[in-house]
Amino acid sequence: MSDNPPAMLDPFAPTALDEATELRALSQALQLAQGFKLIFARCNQPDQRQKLIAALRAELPGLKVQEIHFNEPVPHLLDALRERIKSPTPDALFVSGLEYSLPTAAEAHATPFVANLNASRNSFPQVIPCPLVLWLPEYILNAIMLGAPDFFSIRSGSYFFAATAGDTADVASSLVREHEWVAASLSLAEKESRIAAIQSLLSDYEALVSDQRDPPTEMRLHVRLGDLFHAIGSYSSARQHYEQALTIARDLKIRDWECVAAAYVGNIARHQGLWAEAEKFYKTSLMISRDLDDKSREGMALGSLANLYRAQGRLDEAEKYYQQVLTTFREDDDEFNESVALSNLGNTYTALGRYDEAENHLQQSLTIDRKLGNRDGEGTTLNNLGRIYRRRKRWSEAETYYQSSLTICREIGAKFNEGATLNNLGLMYVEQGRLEEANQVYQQSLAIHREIRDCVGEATTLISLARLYSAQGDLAKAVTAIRQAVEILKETEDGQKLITTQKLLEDLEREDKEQGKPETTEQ
Amino acid sequence: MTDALKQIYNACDPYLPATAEYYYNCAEARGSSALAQEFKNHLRLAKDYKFIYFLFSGHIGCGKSSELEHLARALTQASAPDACYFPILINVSEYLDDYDTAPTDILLAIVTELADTLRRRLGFELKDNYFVSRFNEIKQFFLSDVEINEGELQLGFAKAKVQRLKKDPTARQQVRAVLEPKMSTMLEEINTIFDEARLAVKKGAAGPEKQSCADIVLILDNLEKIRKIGGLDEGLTSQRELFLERYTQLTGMKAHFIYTVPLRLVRSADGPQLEQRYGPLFVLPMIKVVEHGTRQPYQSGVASLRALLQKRLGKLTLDQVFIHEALDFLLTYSGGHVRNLMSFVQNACTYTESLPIPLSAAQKAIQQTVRTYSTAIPEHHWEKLARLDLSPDQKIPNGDNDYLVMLENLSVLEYINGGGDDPFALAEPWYAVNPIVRQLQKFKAAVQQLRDEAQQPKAATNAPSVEPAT
Repeated sequence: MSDNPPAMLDPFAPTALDEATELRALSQALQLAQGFKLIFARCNQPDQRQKLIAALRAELPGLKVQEIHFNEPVPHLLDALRERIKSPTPDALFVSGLEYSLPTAAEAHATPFVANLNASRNSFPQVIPCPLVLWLPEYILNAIMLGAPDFFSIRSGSYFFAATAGDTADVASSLVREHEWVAASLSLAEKESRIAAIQSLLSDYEALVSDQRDPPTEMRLHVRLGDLFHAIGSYSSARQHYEQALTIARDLKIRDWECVAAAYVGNIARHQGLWAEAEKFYKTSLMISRDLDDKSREGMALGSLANLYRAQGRLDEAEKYYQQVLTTFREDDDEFNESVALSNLGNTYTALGRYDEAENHLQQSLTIDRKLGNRDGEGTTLNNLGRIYRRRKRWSEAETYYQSSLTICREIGAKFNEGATLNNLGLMYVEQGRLEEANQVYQQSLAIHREIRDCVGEATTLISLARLYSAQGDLAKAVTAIRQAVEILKETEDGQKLITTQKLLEDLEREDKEQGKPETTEQ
Repeated sequence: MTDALKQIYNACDPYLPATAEYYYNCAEARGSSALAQEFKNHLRLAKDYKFIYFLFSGHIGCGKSSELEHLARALTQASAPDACYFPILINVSEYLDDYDTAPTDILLAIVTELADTLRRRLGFELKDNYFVSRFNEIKQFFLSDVEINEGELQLGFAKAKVQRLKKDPTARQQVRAVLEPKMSTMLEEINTIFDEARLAVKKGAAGPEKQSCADIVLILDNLEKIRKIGGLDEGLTSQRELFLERYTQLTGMKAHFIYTVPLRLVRSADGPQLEQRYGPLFVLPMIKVVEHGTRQPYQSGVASLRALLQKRLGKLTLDQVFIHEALDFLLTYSGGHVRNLMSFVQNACTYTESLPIPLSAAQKAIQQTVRTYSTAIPEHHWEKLARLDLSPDQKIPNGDNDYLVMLENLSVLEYINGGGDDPFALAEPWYAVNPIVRQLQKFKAAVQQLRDEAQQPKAATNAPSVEPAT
């Protein structure tokens, strides 16, 4: 037994085995297991999961598998399974959809859901007398290891399935930060089915006789619907729901909800280009947060105002506000949001051409993201760092950052960011004159935006493509692309982008380096 | 795939404590006398009829429950000079919600399990008036109407019913509202129950076991799993409250007790107080597989793990089941942690078609853990892990919370028996980075960085070109 592992493959490299090997091993585990066994199957992509399960079923036709997919949060997994497990007992139980119970990676390990796993670990065999396979993304597996070490320690195996290239995957692991609930990377179909489900639930609530009505629940459902409509770019529907939530919050005099709902309405107004209105809602939100002496919400409101000013090009004001936000979150010891503020401030410095300060802030943000294990934030910040180097024309460094960002996006299934980063990489290729490569990554980006129906992203990449075509001298194609972008933007009512794009359509031949150029994520 | 694979896979279940068939005494390799022997010594030496409050701790999955079950079996066997004892092993997880526990819940669990054990093993019906009245006061909260109409709830038959409280927070609150005002009385009265039980086990000849025992011993397993008590903060705060602030309740009961305590609390700044307030503390270390300092294989430890594994294999020999290198590899990277080893063997079974298990299957089994540790270990832990690894004494700084977390998630393992011939150092715990973690890229990078930092002053003098302007 030496200190060095034997040769052959390096068993300590954290790379995944090939899918076939892992699948065969998991299949074998299911055949060997008698009675309760806890097995983790780490798979970030729902599409891939479905394919793997289908493959397992095909390979083990005699095995009676019950699949339970949660599409709602469950506070207590064992209780939820107890209600759902069939009698007679299946030969194996596959469970997925835990993302809804643990929507974000930050602090996932400290949630009641994970705590309950640990607490109930001894009761699983009584309830589930067969192998239990939990299909989950990496961040949940990590949260379980950190937050439920007892539960984790009784595992009979954890099989890793890496994302395969070319999968048309949709993923729930990456969330838009402004929102608790909307998984921006959900497929369009999944978003739409969520919308339908929540709408029907909401109408059931609204149909109750008046003394049974439950306004706080209705309010939460409105917010979730607002988030989902926001995510598919249906801004007017999103706004309707947020406004109803705001009304209910005011009726109930729940001030902290009023504060949040006002900021949500403001976000939509900002996307619609209704800047004065957005500012009004944000200021309402800010005022309430100060009344409540709620530092965290005050930070969010200030950050929203800063985002607005940055969108308007009022960079000096944006900088001032981001600084305040940074101070607020630092005083509040809220590192997650501190990192967001640092990243936004960094982007503002990039826009101001103050690259050294930009880099300094983004590096700080990166350090925090890595410390917190916030992969989503890490991916975003790497992309933002890429932008600084792109602007400085230090191409190879920029490309390294972009590629690292892409690796993370693909690893965690952050489609939304992946699409944006591909677009940015394309912009760089164009600047370098690598036009054919640019075309390739734009096409990839476009496919992703369409897959998850990120309309604004799609329009952005169409604009990028138009610039490429015009650089190649193909003005007709460029105009077609821009027209498509304008149509999409009209539909989404993203007023702000629509105006710039229409202007671009007019100015097509003029090389305008920075205007309208996309940024990855508005944080 | 063979039936033998199936047998091995299911015999090596990380979930179940070792049965008598699977138990193997690893005391020597762990570097400590066996729990059972140690506890019996204390019983024998206890003066003036004092009761012993014995604390027992160890890593998750290092074999605590197996040791306690073994202890319970050992206590029933009289062998001069030790008398025979009557153990009541209470798995408190069957009664308590780890995240919502009150002291009265623990008392209820003790009374219920005691009555149940006496009934099952001795045919003895515990009929303490006080607790029968209390049970009948609270039964309305967890019994159905039909059950209530069945008449008085007998203590000896209450187990399954009282356990319902674990799943029913509302009933739990109602029960507590009734019992909490009576807490101090209950603590007094429970001693009468112990007296009644003591009498029963002394007279034990009437029961099926036909053996007279010197006394009862209550063993509370999984008590260390309680994370939240009485509305306090989760984790260390609650554990301090239960084991330290309220220690008079746990040491006020008049019987021999073994309590499992969290390793994290034992190794925290408050740890030394525990021994002052209770009595002996026994920490079950990992089975040592490498020597402290030299990192050479510790043959006795490796041999113990092999013997322990052999017990699970039935008629098959280790050579039939594993290629030599494969077994070595699994044993080394288990770090002497029994549950890890079981888990690794199971995993390895799924990467081979036939026996013996080849090295490649063993490596793939370990890879599962590699991948989780690579991404789950918080970034700021790497430097501390490297520091521990490079430290000459292999101790962790007293009370550093990060190291306590690492002990909990098994990235750091605790051993004893590192001191060679020095009897004081012999009993001192020492710590090692999990051998899998030691092989990870991020760990190696952190070690390299610490080494570089340590060498920097030297490098600067060798490199005049970077001399700063004066």
